[in-house]
Amino acid sequence: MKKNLYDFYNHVTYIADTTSSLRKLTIKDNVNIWKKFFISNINDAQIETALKTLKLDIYLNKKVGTLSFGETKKLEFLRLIIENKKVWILDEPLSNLDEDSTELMKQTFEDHCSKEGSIIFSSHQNPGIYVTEEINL
Amino acid sequence: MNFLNKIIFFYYREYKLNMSGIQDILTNIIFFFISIFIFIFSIGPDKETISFIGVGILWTLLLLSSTLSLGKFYQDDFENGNLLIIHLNGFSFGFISILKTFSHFLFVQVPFLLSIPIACILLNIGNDKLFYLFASFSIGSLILSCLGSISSSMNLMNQRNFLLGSVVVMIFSVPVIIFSVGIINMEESFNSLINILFGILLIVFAINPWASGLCLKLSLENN
Repeated sequence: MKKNLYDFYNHVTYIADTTSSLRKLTIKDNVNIWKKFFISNINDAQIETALKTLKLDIYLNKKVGTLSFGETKKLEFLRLIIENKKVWILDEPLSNLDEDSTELMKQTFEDHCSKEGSIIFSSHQNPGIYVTEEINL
Repeated sequence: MNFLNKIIFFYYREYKLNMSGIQDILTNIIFFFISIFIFIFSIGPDKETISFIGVGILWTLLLLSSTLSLGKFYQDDFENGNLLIIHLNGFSFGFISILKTFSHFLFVQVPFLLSIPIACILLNIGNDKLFYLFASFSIGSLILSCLGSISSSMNLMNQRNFLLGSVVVMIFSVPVIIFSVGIINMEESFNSLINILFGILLIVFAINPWASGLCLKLSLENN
């Protein structure tokens, strides 16, 4: 793995406890930057659908700094979708989300896993989805 | 080709970020000009004296103003996790530091470079010296950006005393000041002095990715 480190990195992305979206810019700017910087193969229509599903389309021209914590969290998931990498590493993915959003995230996880993707995550709450291996600490 | 596109869009990202915080750049420029006014008022109306020490004042203020922006060199990207995301996108830490150094040069130092002619009018520095000032500042500011990159990456874990970063830059920028001011005051030895300045640039440019890259890696590992 050390030899092909950047090859490995090409398949991995993560969400930490911080928000990586640029707070001074609007959602639209952030999405544009991610799409170009990650050389994403996700097209505009797919991004639009994802924005609508995550209910972020109404805030498109709003600065990220003015969004609530739950909304910024959903924006982080949008980054994962745009990056389109196989392995997601998530830290507390379901915290600060309302019930509807939690359901939506679970659906997103299942969709990702059904497309040969893998998710490694830590969580205080039971996510209520099928997990292949669980480590209790 | 993909890698080149990534570099281009890294700078697009930096451009967007800097334009959204353009007030920071303007504040630096305003600090620079207000400091010039303070120097002029404190020296008095003697044109000869102002003209004689003008170049020294200009270089000192350029150094001080450019160190003001060092706090944001890596700090924002480090705190919001973007450094790691950029790294996962295929850029080594050393390469990130090179890209960031050029970004600092473009968005912080170039505005100073453009404001030098106005500062020259205020400090009564003749047009004949403008070319030498431009030449020395173009190289000198890139050296300052490299030093800034090293010192701010060293200070990422330092939450208390960020001035330490500016102190490091100032100590190592002494040779830059000596040779840059020398170029302007000793025009006959322009070639030899600019070569020395260029040599210093090559040294810090070679050290920068190693030192900054390692500091970034260590900071992320210990965060």
